[in-house]
Amino acid sequence: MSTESVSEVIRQFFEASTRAMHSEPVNPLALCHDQLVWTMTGSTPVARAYTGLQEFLDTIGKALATQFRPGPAFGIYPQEIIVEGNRAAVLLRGHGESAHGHPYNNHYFFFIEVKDGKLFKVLESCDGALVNQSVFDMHLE
Amino acid sequence: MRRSNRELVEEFVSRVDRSLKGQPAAVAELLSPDAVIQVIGSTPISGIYRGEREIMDILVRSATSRIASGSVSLIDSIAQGDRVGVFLLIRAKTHTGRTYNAQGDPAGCYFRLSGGKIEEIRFYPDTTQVEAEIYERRFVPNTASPRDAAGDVR
Repeated sequence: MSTESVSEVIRQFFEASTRAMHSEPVNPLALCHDQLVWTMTGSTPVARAYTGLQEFLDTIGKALATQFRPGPAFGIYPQEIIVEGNRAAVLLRGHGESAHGHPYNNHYFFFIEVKDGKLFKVLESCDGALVNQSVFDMHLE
Repeated sequence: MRRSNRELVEEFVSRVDRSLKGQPAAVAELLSPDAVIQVIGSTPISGIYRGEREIMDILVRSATSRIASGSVSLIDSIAQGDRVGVFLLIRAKTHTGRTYNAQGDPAGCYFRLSGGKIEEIRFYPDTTQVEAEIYERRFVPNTASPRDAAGDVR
């Protein structure tokens, strides 16, 4: 795949994710490989590797549907996409609100490997403390 | 021969590692005088640090007031033009004996370079571990237990 193609499929995935949270009839997971491996780094309750598209859908897909408030304010915005071969380092900003009503404006850093024109391996790093506080309704003492 | 941007980032990571081990490393030599470092999140060391003085006098001083020693190594990198994205393995011991990242998770980091110097760094540490281990704070549920909350997605 060309540099532009790798970049484009990644942009399309995050754009579709945003549109899905706006309740538009799009499926971002159609841009993910059946053998997707999505690893969330860090120490949050959701941090682990999800192997296979079905497991990702059954866990994170359901969590996204229940732990965030969908609506036009929700958005995931790529800031930088650095492509080398079929892999990209991606910086994103997110904007949204958790189901608990807390702001959820996270920073994300990904390594994404693209295979067969779809997201194949994803390694994710983000502000886990915000995940704990906003999504899991905790505070710091 | 001039080093590639990837090699410069590798050298920077190596120097930070030596510095964390208490060895002379001249880390700032690889930074542009106007370099900007962003540590994401809302931890006590999160923020945007502009220029060598803010980086050394605020960010580095804040970090070393809590961190006694540590290590950093480069796990993987992706480079294109003036930008390099990396995942790092970072571990640290605090002055009170706590360990940051005992589990060995990777942390993302972005570099932008110009003229053989690092102009910008955006660092994505495990902010949960920064709060819990480096600053010894606790995440406490507002209403339900953390186990109940975690159970939503497990």
